Amino acid sequence: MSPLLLAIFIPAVPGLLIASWFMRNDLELCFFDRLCAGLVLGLGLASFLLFLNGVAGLAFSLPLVVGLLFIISVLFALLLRRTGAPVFSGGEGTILSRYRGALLLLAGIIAAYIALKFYFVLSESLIRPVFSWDTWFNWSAGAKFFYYEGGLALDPSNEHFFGTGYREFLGHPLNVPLLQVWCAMWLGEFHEVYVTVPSAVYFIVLVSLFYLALKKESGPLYGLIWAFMLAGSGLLTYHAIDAYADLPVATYFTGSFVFFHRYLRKRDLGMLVLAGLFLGMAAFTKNEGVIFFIAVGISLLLYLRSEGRGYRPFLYLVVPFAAIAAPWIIFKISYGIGFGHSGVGSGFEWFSDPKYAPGTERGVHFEIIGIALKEIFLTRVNFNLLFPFWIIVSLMGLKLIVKSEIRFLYSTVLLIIGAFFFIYLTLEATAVTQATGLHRNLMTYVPAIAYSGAVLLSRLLSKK
Amino acid sequence: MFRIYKIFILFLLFLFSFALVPNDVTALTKMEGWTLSSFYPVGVKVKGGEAVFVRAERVGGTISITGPGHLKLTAKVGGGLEAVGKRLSFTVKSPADAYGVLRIRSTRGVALKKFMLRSSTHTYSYDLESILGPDDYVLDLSLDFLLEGQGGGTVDIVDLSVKEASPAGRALETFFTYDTLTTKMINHIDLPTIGRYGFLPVAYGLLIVFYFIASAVFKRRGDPGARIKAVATAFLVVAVFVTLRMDLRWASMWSQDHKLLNANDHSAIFLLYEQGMGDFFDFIDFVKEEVPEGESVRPASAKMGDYIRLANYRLLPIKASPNARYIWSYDDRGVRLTRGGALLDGGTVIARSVELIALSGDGALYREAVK
Repeated sequence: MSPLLLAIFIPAVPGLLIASWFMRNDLELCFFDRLCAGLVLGLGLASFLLFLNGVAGLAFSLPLVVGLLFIISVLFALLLRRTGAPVFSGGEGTILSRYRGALLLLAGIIAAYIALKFYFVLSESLIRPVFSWDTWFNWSAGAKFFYYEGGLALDPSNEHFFGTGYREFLGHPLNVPLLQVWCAMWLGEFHEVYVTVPSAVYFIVLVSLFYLALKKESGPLYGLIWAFMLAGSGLLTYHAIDAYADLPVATYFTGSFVFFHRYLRKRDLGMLVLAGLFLGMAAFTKNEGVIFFIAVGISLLLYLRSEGRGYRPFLYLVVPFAAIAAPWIIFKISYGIGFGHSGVGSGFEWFSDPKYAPGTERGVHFEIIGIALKEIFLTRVNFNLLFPFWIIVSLMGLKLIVKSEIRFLYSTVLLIIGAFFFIYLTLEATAVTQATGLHRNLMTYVPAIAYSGAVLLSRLLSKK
Repeated sequence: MFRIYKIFILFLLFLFSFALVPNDVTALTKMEGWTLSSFYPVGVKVKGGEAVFVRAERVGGTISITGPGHLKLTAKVGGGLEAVGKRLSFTVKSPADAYGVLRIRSTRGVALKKFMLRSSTHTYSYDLESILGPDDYVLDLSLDFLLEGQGGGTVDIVDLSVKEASPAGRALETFFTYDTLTTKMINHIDLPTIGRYGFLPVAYGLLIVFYFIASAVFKRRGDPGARIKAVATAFLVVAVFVTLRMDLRWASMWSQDHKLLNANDHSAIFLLYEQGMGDFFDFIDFVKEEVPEGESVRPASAKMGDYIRLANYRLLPIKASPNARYIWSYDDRGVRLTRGGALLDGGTVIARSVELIALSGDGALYREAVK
């Protein structure tokens, strides 16, 4: 257990310091904002450094990665010390100082319920092994192979080159497998149970980031109610106890979305850097991360155009994103590994999902739109009543969306929905017809949808 | 006035409590409706070589089975029992490991539900309609128990019954029935039902009701943002209700998992959730122990399909390779060893000269003599 704590908290140190540095100008942010961002930033960083370690052709080395994390920590600690930027202090008052009586009791009950949920996911992830077929198939088999291989097996003569035989889709990004390798290196074995623990951490951070962001929007109680709703999502909860990659992607994208919104409100470029880093981590976790980056990037360009202040801030998003995502993308291109998720290898097979009914004509599968709507609104209850809520509140607040910065949150979300439906219509109809990818994909941006709806609702309620 | 109002509520609760009482509908509700038979009447051989007989006795409302071996309880249903609204439930006390199967023969075929018992007392409850479908009829029900381990043990089955719930009771019961956790949950979580109806349309109905109630309250107060406040309130109330219902599922899973699993022994999860795989996972663990370090393995045939990949994953650090000297087969009658030592898959030669290293359950492990 204690090696596992080291595996999670050692990377959190540079993560916390990096987050503190880029959050230094925003005095409304508190230690928990920095810690939450730092925890997942650190985990991604450890995995990213392990990737660089493997690409360099060296055997995975714990001292090497820890050494690099230490150097990064020292660099950012010196920067923070020089500027006197806060790490542990800052932020507004606590719930205790804000509420009295019944409201305080209500806030306490909701907070206790959320804490119980956190306990549940942690406790389950400490006894449940990697279990779901898709989890070991897509992520853990490769992780276990890399761990016992001691590297990325990049020798072309190796019959298991880059996990061949264990990784069906070589083009799948490496954050989750390498995070499992990272945990296994600390544990000294590929422990089928303990390698799932980072998923619980991602869940806790996701809900906490969500709370912290909405707390700044409309107070702690409002944030708590929404955190309760998000934590109550059935699919997110299940992912918190298995080791699939969609929950980390959801966490990274939600983080970037919240930071992007913070930039829109405060024009603090540090927030854009953090958004870029989080989007880079998302792209290093799943290919969908690139879609999220494009959607946020377009919305940022639209914002900058509307403001007429030039496009320089765009670089603050692109450069950190590229710093994380580019090595992986360049690596894939140089080794001829694709981006797709089709039946064979990693290529794209447009207008012909190989898993769809045999004999189906090639073309755009418009029939999936009706199936998807039925799945989302009538058949499953993966995300509570979020979708009907979002649609109704958005219609009621349409004028407010158009005339406030919320329109850039909506443009991001709508671009993502459009991109995913473009993929379902042209490339992977079975993600909808078999109710597989549809809900998992939704899960990656459902917190962002919830956030945009919650921000809009708070403005409508307070008539800002 | 206030007292009359309270009495009226109490009267409604009284009526509702009657509506929740399940009705006994067949002779199966009594323990005596079940017949008891030994699956292997002459006893079974266990690993130690000594024959141990299965014994069964009925004391009052409890059936005690002592093994190891198979034992079967069967209830024939004369004329068929309509599945709608029927629930089979029983409590099992097991001091030792046991593996159980509920087998339901219906007009449409046979449905199986497997469950693992780990030295505990647990009540099992199955909604027959959700297993068979609304238009099916039960012909007979049986419970098989396989008692594992060399020493055997005794399993007590208590309160075995089939009951039919009242419509109101059934609506509540189905709403609080948690679907079996499967590997597919990574993709989606199924909707709870109220009777035969999905819950989301009911939730939408509740939303409308709560919207009108909240709207009336806010308007009466003269609140300027009455409409949006009513929408927010209605969604909040129904969403909290949905959240609590969905979280009860996780609470149920938590309680089950903490009885069966721990960080270093999680094998039960595969028996619970990967139904119909026999002792495949035990066999793969066995192969992992038998194959020396540095060697690799391969399956004798493609019969196990995608499970070969699962085996390859579980076998690591023993790697899979098409040129491996060690070859495994599982529950595959097409694979046979000739007198000359060749291993065949149907008519195809897999290896010209192999020796059988070990047998375990339905699996076999071979080593190719010459490469």
